[in-house]
Amino acid sequence: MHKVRSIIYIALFLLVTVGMGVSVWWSIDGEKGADYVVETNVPFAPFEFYENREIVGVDVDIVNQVAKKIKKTFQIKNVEFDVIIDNVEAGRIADVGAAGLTITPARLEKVNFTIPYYDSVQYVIYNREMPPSLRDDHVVWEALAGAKIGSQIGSTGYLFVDDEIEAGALVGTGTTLKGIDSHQLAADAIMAHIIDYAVADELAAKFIVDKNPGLEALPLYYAGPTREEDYPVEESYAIAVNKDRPELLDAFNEVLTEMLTKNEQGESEIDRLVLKYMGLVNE
Amino acid sequence: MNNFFEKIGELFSTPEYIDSLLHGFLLTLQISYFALLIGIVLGTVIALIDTAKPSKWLKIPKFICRLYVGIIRGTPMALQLFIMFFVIFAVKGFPSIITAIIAFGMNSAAYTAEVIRGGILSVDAGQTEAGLALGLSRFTIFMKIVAPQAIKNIIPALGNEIITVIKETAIVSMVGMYDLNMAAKDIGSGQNMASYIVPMFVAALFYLGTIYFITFIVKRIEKNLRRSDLRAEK
Repeated sequence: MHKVRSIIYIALFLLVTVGMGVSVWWSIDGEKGADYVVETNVPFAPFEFYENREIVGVDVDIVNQVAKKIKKTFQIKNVEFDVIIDNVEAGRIADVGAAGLTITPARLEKVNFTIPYYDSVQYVIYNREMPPSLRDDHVVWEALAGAKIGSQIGSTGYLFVDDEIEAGALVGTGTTLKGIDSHQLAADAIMAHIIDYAVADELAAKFIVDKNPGLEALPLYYAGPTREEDYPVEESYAIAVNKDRPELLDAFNEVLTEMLTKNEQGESEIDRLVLKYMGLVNE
Repeated sequence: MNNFFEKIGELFSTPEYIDSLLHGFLLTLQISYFALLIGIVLGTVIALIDTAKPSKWLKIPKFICRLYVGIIRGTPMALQLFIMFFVIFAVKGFPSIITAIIAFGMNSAAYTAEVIRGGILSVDAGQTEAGLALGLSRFTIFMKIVAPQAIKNIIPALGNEIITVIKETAIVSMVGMYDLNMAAKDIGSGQNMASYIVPMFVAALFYLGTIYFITFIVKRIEKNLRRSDLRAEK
């Protein structure tokens, strides 16, 4: 009786091991064999987000067009946002970074950037019941003084706030900045009163506010001499390419130039894709 | 609060969400299962070397084992995972699931080694001496006298380690792998939820269910091993 039991247990163990092994083998099978690796950070709708566990979005479409053009395969990997630039610079595990990356001087030292393909402005997300002091339809930096601000760590929103605290409108105001895992989590953090405001890119902010009735978002402006002269916090997205892959940079630039060409209605393919993916996620 | 239960209902009635959660769950199980296998095998080897009778041949292996356990237990798992992904296995096209399994396996090995070492040491040295006095070989003494008693002491702590590994695999979402935790984040950031809170609760239920199941099995094994003990739970 004891023997039979042991045999059953051992057989069960082997069965589970083999079954697990096969399932791991399957998941590996789909992963290898790409010429280039593209790193991105999900979720950042409409540029990249999961749909049935596949990464889709505007950036993914750009990469696919390049793949078609140069007849190479690309593997798209989801990683933490703040490691993308370093990984692309090293070039060992990634060749391209496509994550709505803004061109900044510090990043330019490490990687090459393609031509910008989308202009964005920064937005402030806040609790509807505790808004900062507004200037009509926007918020100026000064209104955030002394608050606890959160932003996706390593994102340009984070860098902008950091700059203002170090040497800008928020110097010496006791304003604190918290790095948070993602824009979405920053929004949850507002509702949990961990932070007062979150700074995020326009589309990400609008997407989040759309789904959370308790939150509102308005564009963030630098204060000008008068209210009319306030100007927005702008940035341009581009794709980062490893410095040793000039052929890739050329291919991306070529495709982006094509995709940015406006048709008779004054709408480029990028505009159309942004609308398409915004529409899709807004269902 | 009403909204909370509404959203939970919505999550459970949307097939795509359930599908995502189950896929994430599978990855969590895959990583923890093989990591634990590696951990138990490697951990046993380390523990045996560490508790073996000192001799000049074993000096260096013993030193290596202690260093290994020291380093692994002395650094956070999240950092080990990062180093594995971005330094040691920073090879293009290397499957990330294998990297994760190795990272967690190596981590688990250090803890399992300590658990097993503790189990072996809990058996009084006098028993080995008695065995030697009776003229038994060291191998026989270990297999017939020390191991059966040690295992009884190892199982509860090993169950603890199994649970720890399963829960700790949640950090693979940090390197972009689609595990149960990432599935919750994915659902939370998309379409209808736009909040991490509800899917996180549901993911927690999955973890809780798994751990309850593991605890049940470990308890069964324990009971079986202790059936001749005075202190056995009946």
